[in-house]
Amino acid sequence: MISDPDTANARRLHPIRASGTVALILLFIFIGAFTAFAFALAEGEGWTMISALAAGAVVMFFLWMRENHMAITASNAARPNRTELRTLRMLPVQVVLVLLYVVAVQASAAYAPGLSGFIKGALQSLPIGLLAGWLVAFVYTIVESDEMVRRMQTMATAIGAGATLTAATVWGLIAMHAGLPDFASVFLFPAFAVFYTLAELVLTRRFA
Amino acid sequence: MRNRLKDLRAERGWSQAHLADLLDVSRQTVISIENGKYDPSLPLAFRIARVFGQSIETIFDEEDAA
Repeated sequence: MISDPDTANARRLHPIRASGTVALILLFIFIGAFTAFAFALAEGEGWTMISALAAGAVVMFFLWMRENHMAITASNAARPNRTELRTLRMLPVQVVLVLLYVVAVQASAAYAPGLSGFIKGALQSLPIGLLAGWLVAFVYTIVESDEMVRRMQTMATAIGAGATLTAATVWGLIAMHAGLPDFASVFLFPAFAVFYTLAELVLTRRFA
Repeated sequence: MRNRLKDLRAERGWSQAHLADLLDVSRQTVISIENGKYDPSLPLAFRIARVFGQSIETIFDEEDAA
C-alpha cells in the first residue's frame, strides 16, 4: 500500500533535527531578552550582555537557517511552492533587520555625538534605513502571500499593534507612579516585531 | 466548512503541494481548507471547482458552517 506522501515524514530523522525548532524558539527568546536589555542599557556595562545576547541570537539564527535548508533540500522533501518560498526568505531577513535596528539605535546614541559630517549623519539615519527595510520585507510578504497567509498576517499585525500599545501604555502608567524610566519610543518598533512574530506563531498553529 | 477536498485530491493521486501549485496558494492554505480551519474566498472556491471539474456546492457543504 502506497503511503500518503503528505503524511509521510518529509525527510529522514536527522540527529540534530530537533535543534532547528529549539534554535528558532531560542532565537525569539534572545530577541525578546535583547530588546529588554537594550531598554536598560547602562553606559558601557550593558554592552557585554547585549553582545553576548546578539552573538547567541546570530548562532541560533544560522543554526535555524541550516536546519531549514536541510529540510528543504532533502531528497524526499516536497518542494515548497513559490508563495511559501517568499515567506521563508523574508522571515530571516526581518529577524536580522530587527536585531540590527536595536544595535544601530544604541550605536547612534553612543557614538554619533562624537562624530561629525557624513559619518555622523549616516549613523544617525541607519536605524531609519533598517526600519524601512523591515517595512519593505513586511509589505512584500503581505502582498506576495496567498489569501490565507495574508489574513493571518493581518490578524497578527492587529494583535501585535494592540499588544505593543497596551504594553507601552501600561509601562507608562506604572512608570508615572513608580518612578521608573519612560518607555523609549524608538523601541516601539522592535517591541511590535516581537509581538507580531509571537502572534504569527500562535495563528499558524490555529490555522494548521 | 466541511468539504470533500481531501477525497477529490486522493482520487486524482495529487499531493497537497501539487494542488497548492494548481491553485496558486501555499500548501498551508490547502491543509487549512481540508481541515475545515479556513474557508476559501469566492475566487479561490471557483478555482478549486474548476480544477476538480465540479461545482462549488458539490465540493463544499455549508450545513456545517452554522
